[in-house]
Amino acid sequence: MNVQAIESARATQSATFAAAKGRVRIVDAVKIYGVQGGGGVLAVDHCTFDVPPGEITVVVGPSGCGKTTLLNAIAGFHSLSAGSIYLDDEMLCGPGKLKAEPGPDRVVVFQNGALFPWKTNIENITFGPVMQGIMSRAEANDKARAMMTDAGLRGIENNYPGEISSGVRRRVEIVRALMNDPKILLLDEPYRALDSLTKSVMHEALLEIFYKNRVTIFFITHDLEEAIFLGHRVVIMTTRPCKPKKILDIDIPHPRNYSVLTNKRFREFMEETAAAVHEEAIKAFDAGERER
Amino acid sequence: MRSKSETCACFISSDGHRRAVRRLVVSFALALCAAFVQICLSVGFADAAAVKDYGKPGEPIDLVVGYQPYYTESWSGVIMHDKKFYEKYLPKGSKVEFQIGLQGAIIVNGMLAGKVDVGYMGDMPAIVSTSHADVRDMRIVSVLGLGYDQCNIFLTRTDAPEFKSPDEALKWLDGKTVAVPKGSCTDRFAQAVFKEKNIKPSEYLNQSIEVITSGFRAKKLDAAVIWEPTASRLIEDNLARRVASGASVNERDGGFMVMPAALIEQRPDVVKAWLQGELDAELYFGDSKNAMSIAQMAASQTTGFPEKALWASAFAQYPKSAGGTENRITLAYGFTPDAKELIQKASKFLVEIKSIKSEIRPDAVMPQFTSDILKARGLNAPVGDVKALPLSAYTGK
Amino acid sequence: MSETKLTEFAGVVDQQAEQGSATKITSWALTMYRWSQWLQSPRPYLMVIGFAGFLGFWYLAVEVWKLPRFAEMPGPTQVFGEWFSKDPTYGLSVFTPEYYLHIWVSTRRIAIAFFLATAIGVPLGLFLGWSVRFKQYVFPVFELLRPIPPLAWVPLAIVMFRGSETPVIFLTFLASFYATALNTMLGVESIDVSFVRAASCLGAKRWQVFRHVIVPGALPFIFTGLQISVGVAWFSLVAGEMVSGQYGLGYLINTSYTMVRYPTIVIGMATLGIVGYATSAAIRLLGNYMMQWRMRELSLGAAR
Repeated sequence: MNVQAIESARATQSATFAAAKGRVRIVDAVKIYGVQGGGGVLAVDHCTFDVPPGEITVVVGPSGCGKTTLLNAIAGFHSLSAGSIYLDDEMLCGPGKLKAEPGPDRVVVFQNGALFPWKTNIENITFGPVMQGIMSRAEANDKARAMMTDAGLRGIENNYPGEISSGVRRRVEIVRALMNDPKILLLDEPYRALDSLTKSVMHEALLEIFYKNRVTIFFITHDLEEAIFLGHRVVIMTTRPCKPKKILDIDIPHPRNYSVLTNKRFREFMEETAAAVHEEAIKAFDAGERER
Repeated sequence: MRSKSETCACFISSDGHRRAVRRLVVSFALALCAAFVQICLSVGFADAAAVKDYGKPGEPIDLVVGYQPYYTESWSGVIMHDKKFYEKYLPKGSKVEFQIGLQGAIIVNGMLAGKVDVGYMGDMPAIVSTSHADVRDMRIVSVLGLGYDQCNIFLTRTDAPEFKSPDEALKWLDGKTVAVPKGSCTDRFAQAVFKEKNIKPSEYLNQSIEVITSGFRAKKLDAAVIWEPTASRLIEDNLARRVASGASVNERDGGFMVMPAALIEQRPDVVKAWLQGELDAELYFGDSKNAMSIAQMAASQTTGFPEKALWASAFAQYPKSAGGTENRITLAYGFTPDAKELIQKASKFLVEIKSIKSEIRPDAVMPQFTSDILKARGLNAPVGDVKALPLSAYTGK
Repeated sequence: MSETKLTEFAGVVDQQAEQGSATKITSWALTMYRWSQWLQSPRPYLMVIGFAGFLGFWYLAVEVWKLPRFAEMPGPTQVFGEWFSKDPTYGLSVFTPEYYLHIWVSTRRIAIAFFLATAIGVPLGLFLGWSVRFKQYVFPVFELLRPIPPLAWVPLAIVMFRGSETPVIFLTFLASFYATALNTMLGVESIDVSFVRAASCLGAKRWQVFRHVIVPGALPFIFTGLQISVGVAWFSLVAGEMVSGQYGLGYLINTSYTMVRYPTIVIGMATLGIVGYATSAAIRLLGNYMMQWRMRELSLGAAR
C-alpha cells in the first residue's frame, strides 16, 4: 500500500465534503525537551503526516512516545523545536513562531477530563462562546440545550460534573468543545481512564456525534483496537522519539457500530498492525518508558 | 464517596442506629477505663496529697528562692544572692537556687505549684498567696521593708502639664489612660488612691513593665503606676515624669517574705537559718557605706537597667512635690505595728475588689521566727533604714 | 423516616430529569437538608459523650483521686461553680456583664483581624500562585517574615501603630494572614494545568482564566486556609491582648494569672475554646455553602 496513492484517493473523497475544514499538515516536526545539543530528550523526530479534514485520524503508539507532544503543539500548549504545522494552509507554528496560540478552532478534550467542577454542565458547555463574547448567555444556553439533547444529555444541565458518571462527563466535554464550532477536535486519550464496558459505549457515542457534526478529529490512544474501530486513518508511531511507522487508511465503511469488531476486515487490519505495534511496545518497555 | 453513602444508609435504619451507637459507647467507655487504670497503676495512690517532703531537721536541703532584682524594696534578696549570708546558717551541703521573677505574681504561681520554696514579693501578691490554702498553705514570715515610694509611685508622660502639687497631678489622672501591672503592689495602691480621691481613668490597662516602657516611649500612655527600679529607670531615660507617691497620700507599701507552711512545719531550722541570713542582709542594706556595692550587685543581676537608675531607685531623694522621701525604705524585718496595719488594710481592700475571697487569716502571718531572732541578737524591729543620699554619693559612671 | 426523605429528595431530582426542566435545587434547601440529617444521625450525641468523657476525667483526676500534678489544678466543681454562680468569688461568671464584654471585645478584634487577613491574604496568595514573576519578588520576603511569632512583634507593634486597639488587631492579623496567603497560594498551585489549558483553548483571555478557573479552583484550599487562619487568630489574640490591657478573653487569662485567680483562668480558656470552635464551624459552613459542587458530590453520591 503506497502512502502516496492513498493520499490522492483521500484527497478526492475529501473534496466531496465541501467546505470541510480542519486539515492539518505536520511537516518535519521536531521536539527536544531540555537543553539542546547534549542533555536534551528527543521526543519527536522529524514527524511528517497529514490529518485529512472531516475525518477521524487516530495516532497510536506506546505511552510516552511523544504523541501528546504533537497534540499539544497543534493545540498551542507546547512549542516545537523545529518543523512546522499548518491548519487549512495557515501556519500554526513553524520557523519564526515556534508556539501556536491556543484557540477555539482547535479545542482539546483532556485525558483526565477538564470539565470545571465548580460550574454546572450547562455553564461548562456555554463557557467558550460566552467568554469569547460571540453569544449572549441566553443564546448560548439555547444552543447548548439543543446540543445536549442531540447528544442524549438532556436533564443534567444544572447538575455539576461531580454528580454525573465519568462517561457522561466525557460526552459533556465533547459537547463543550463542539459548541465552539472548531475546525479540529483534539482528543488526548480521552477514554484511557474508563473501564472497557464504558469505553465501548463511548466509542459509539463519539461516532454518533461525529456523524452529526463532521468535525475533523485528531485522536490519540495506545489502544490499537480503539484506533482501528474509530479511525478513517490510523498512524502508528514508533516509540520515543516518535515518527510515523505505518499509516493505514481503514476502508471499513461508516457508519460503524460494534459489530465491526468481529468483521473480517477489522481482523485483517489488526493482524497487519499488531506485529508493528507490539514491536514498538517492547522497545518502549525496554527503554523503561514511564507513564506520563 | 461510596463508603460515605453506605455509612449514611446504615444510620437510616433505626436498628442499625441503635447498634452502632451502643458499640461506640461501649468502646469509648472501655477506652476511658483503660486509660484510668493505666494512670493509677503508673502513679500509685500514695502520692495523692502532693505535699513536698523537705527532709528531717539538720539534713542538708535544696531550696529554690524566687526573688525580684527588679523590685528595689526586696533587694535584701539581691544582697543574699551576692553575699550568701545564708551559707553559714544552713546545714552543710545545702544548695540554694535563685530564680528571678519579673513580678510577684509569677513567684506566687511558682510557690503554689510547689516549685519555689522562699518568695520575695510585694504586699498584694504576698496577701494573695496566703488565700489559696486549698492549693498550698503559705505564710508570711518576715517583712523585707516598708516604704512610701517604693511601690507607690505615679508617673506621667513627659509632656504632661507642670503640676503645682501631687494632689493636682492626681486630679489630672481623671479621664486619662493609666497602666499598671495588675496583681502587683502598685495595682492595690492605684485602685485604693483612685477610690479615695474619686478619680476615674478613662482606661485602666493591665500591662507588664516592658509594655508600659514601650507605651511611654510611643507616647501612648498618659500615666502609669510602677514600682522601683523601673520608675527610676523611666525617669532616667526621660520617658516619664514622677508626680506623686504614697507619701503624697499617706499610703504605705511593703515587701514581704513568704514560705510554704509545709517547709515551716517540717524544717523550722531552715526557716530560722534563712531568716538569720535575711537579718544580715537587711543590716547590710541599711548601711549607707554599702550603697555603691549594692547598686553594682543589682546591676549584675539585672539587664537593661543603667546602674545609675538602680542606685537612684534605692538611694536618691526625689523632690517633695513629686512625693519624694528622705527615708526610702524602713527595714522592718519583724512585724512592726506599721507592717501589721498595712497587711490588715491591704487585705480588707483586696476583699472589696474581689481579689481574694476573705480577709487574711490571723495565722497566715507568723511573727514568731523574726521576734525570736531579734531577741537573741539584742536588736529591735525595724533593724535599719535605707536613707536617701545626695547625688554626689553616686560614684559610678 | 429519613429513608423516605432521601428517596423523596432523589425523587425530586428524577422528576426534574424527566421533565427536562432546568430548575435548580437551591443551595439553601440542600444546606437545610444536610443540617436535619446531621441532627438525626448519632453524631451530635457522640459529641456530647466525648465531652462528658473529658469532663469526667478532669473531675476524677483533680477532685476524686487527686493525682500528683493534677491536685493543684482547679477542678470542674470549682470552675463550674464559679462560672455559673450569681455572686462569683473573683467577680466573673455568666451572670456578670463583664463576661460578655470580654467575649464581645475579643470577637470583634478577631472579626476585624480575620477580615483584613482574608482581604489582603487571599488576593496576595492568588497572585503569588498565578504569577511566577510576582512570586520571585515577594515570596522570599514573605517566607522570611512568616516564622516570626506575634509575641516578637509586640514592641514594634506598639511603636508602629497609633492607639491601643490597632496594635492588638495587627498582632492577631499577622499569623492569620500568613496562613490564608500560603494556603491560597498552594490552592492556586494545586489546580490541574489541564483546567487552565482547557479554558484558554476555549478562547478565554488571561483575566477570564483567573476569574473563572483560578479563583474557584483554589476555593477548597482557600477555605481550609481560612479555617486554620481563624484558629491561629485566636492563638495570637492572647499574645495581642497583652498589649491592649483592658478587655478581652486573652486579657482575662493574662490578668487572672497575675491575680492568681485559677478558676477564672480556666473559665477564660473554656470560653475561648467555645467561641473559637463556633467561629471555625461558621467558616466551615460558609465554605460548604459556597462550594456547592463539592457538597452535592458528597450528598448525592448516595442517590447514584
